[in-house]
Amino acid sequence: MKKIVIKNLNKIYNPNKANEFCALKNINLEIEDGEILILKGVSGSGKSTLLSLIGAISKPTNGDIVVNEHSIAKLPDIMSSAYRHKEIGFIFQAFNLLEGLSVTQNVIAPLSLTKMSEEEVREKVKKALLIANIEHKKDQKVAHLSGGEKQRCAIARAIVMEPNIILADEPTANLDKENSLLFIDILKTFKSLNKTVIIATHDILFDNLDFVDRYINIQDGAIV
Amino acid sequence: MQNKNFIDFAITLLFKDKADYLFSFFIFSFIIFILSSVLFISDAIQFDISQSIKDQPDIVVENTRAGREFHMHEGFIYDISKIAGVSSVEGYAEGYYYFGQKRLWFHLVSDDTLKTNEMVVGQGVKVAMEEFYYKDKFNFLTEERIIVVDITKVAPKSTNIISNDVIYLHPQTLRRILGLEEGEYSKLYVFVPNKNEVGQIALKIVELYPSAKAISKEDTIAEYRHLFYYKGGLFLILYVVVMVSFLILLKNQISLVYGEKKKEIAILRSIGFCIKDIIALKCMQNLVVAISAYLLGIALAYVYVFCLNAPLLRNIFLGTNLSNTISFTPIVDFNVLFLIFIAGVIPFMAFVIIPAWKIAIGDISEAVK
Amino acid sequence: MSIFLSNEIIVFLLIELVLIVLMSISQVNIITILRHWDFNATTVLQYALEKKNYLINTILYFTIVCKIILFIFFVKSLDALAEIVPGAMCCAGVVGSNNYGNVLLLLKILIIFGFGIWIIINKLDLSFVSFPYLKQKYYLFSFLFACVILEAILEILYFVNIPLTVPVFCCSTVFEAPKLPFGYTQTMLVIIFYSLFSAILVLNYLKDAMTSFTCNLLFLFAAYYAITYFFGIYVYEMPNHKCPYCMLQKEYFFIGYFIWGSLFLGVFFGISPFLLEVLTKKHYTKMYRYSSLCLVITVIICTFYVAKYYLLTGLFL
Repeated sequence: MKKIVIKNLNKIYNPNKANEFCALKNINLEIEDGEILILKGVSGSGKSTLLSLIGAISKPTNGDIVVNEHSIAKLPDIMSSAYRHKEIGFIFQAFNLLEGLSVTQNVIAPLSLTKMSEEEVREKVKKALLIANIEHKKDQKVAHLSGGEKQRCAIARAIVMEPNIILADEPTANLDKENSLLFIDILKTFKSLNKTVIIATHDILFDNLDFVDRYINIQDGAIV
Repeated sequence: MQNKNFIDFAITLLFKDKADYLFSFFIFSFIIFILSSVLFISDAIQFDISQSIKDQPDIVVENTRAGREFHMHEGFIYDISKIAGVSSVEGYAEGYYYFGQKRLWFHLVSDDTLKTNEMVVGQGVKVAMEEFYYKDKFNFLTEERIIVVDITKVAPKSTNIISNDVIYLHPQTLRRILGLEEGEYSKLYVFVPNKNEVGQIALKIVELYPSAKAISKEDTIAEYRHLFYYKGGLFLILYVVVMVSFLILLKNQISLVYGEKKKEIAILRSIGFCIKDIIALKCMQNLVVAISAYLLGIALAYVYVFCLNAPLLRNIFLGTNLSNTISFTPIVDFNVLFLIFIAGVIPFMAFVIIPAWKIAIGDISEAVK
Repeated sequence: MSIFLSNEIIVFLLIELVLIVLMSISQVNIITILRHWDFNATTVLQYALEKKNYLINTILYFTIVCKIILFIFFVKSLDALAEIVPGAMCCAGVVGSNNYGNVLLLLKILIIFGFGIWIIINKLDLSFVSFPYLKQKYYLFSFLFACVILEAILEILYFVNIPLTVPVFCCSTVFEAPKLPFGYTQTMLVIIFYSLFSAILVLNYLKDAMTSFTCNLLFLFAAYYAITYFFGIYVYEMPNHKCPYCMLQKEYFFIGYFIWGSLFLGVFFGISPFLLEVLTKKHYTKMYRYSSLCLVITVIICTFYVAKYYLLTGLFL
């Protein structure tokens, strides 16, 4: 089944202005359910933009993105947020955790929008923390975590709602080699859980991995 | 969306950022404190007055001559007691004595349970007299002589506002001090069993004696009410002006704070919070702050007014004439609390809406890069 | 001495002013939205307009909550004013003290109903991708805004015209027996009340929008008179105490809030399907159930008092 279908996608920043910039040009892409996809390209090539469009964090200038046979390109905010909440797990380069809160509190954040009982919430959080291998630090404030631990906390938050699509934008950019390899291990877990994973990276550690289904090169906003 | 999980999370975030809300919390508490104190004092005084007045006669008659207070003779009592509906009329002598040394007026009231050389004084009178070393006796000065009277007792504190500047004397002594003869009365107390007839009878009294004033109990209560109404109203308008200025300040402060919180909001949006959720989050947090500040303000006002007797503020209502040794009866009315809630929390929340919306609609893509 | 020095009136007018300012901000934004809205555009302007939508929603939710609180507060303030207005013993005297009082109360209730309809349409609008009812929603808002301004003007006129020196009539004069509207007797009122009620139950079951709308509106007026002139006297257990406001007091266990509250809710749910159909061209029938439920509560409470009196004394008043 085609999970994600991207048709003639364009994204132009600051249209009709002096600093107009075309980040994506006529992208056409189809992604299967359960596929692990790596987007390769240098900084500024448009990988992050593509991810943010798939995650409905920004809206395209024209073109369409169809996920599970629903178009998400022009959804009103309530629906795009609901889509992001249920279907997407986003892992950012800068981790984007809520400083001042503990690991558990960060992971609970997406669950606060649901009507689950306390018991269910606890279960889900525990499961996510175990998969991300950060359960031993669950009550620690995130400000006191190392880079790798922060990344794992971010992963736990991204998967706590059990989304089908995981988007990771330069996930290892702020990690050392050891933690990067740990991240790649977690990727294998995602594969076994049949999640659709799209990673934007220019880290060479991701080259030639056997569980990765496809590599796509992006240059100057277009797929090559 | 708005469910227990959400509320818990909102409060978690609130406590994480408590420092940001402290400013608004304390200032808002202070404003509620001032407003509540004034309303509590005002209500307590009104309550005390209406309690004290309950036992008073239905109509009090006073006479005037050339526009000034003048005494009445036996004829008045006879004529008024003949009016249908009047059960009895009693005449009393009373008046005001000028205590020159302190430039104060004492209200002299007759009490025939006392002996001729005894008097009972109100708290304020006692303090004023003691300043001039009149501890056990006091010298009343008249044109012809000095009349010495023993100070036997001080009126109990619970008689509050009414007795503060009052001296109770035997009628004979009082007449000697004020220069009233037997058969001359300063006030007539008229008792009317059927309350519905009071208005009519007051009119009839004035028909009989056009220079007299017939004041019914309701008129007295209304008169006091108007006094507080006027003072209270002015104060409230002042309060409103101050509060609106505070809220504008608050709005600017919130906007500033929220500007720094853009990244945090963007993170929440990226994990699935929609604009409505962010607005609800911010409103909920501010509501918690507003309600806690409201409760704190009310509690502090209660302690200030009913335990500490409201130093400083009491003078607005009671005047600084005699040292006011009055304590306020603790009565708190739900209507007053509701009024304070509406006057405080609703405007507060109104000023929070636009900053909350502004930050909720911030662009996420830039912030989460 | 001026009425505007009463604590309650000052606070009341302050909050009304705050609400009007908020609604004005919304109205300005609505004009922009109505002029430039084009859902299919992908311009920055369009996205900004969608975001403004949320501001207006929030302001409106806030306003309706405040309006309901203010309505109750208004009635309570009038009660407090009864002590200063000569001759008035409860708020019936204050409301009836000039021509604006009753009209103002009715307008307030209708405005709250209007806001209620707006909230329902908004919810429906947001549940679809393309904001199908946006224009209707905003025209309705503009209409409500005009009503709110009218309400504010009426309020000022009403307060300014409350006589402070001339005695007003109290409820025994205002609601005097021979002056029953249209010359109806009490029996007729009761018959109309129960017949309309039964008709509404049937129509709600049949889900006939227009007739239900008409009957519910008629019932609102019929019930007002029936409760004031007939059921009220059983609540107070006095044949001449005909007052719609006294039952809101503590002495009667605040039963007035339940009677009037369930009546207003019931009528609101009864008239909304028709109005929604007019505005959105679709049928929404869930509300008939709520309407029937609320009106049943009203009628049960009213009948209870009559039955209680009769069972205790064996007589009717």
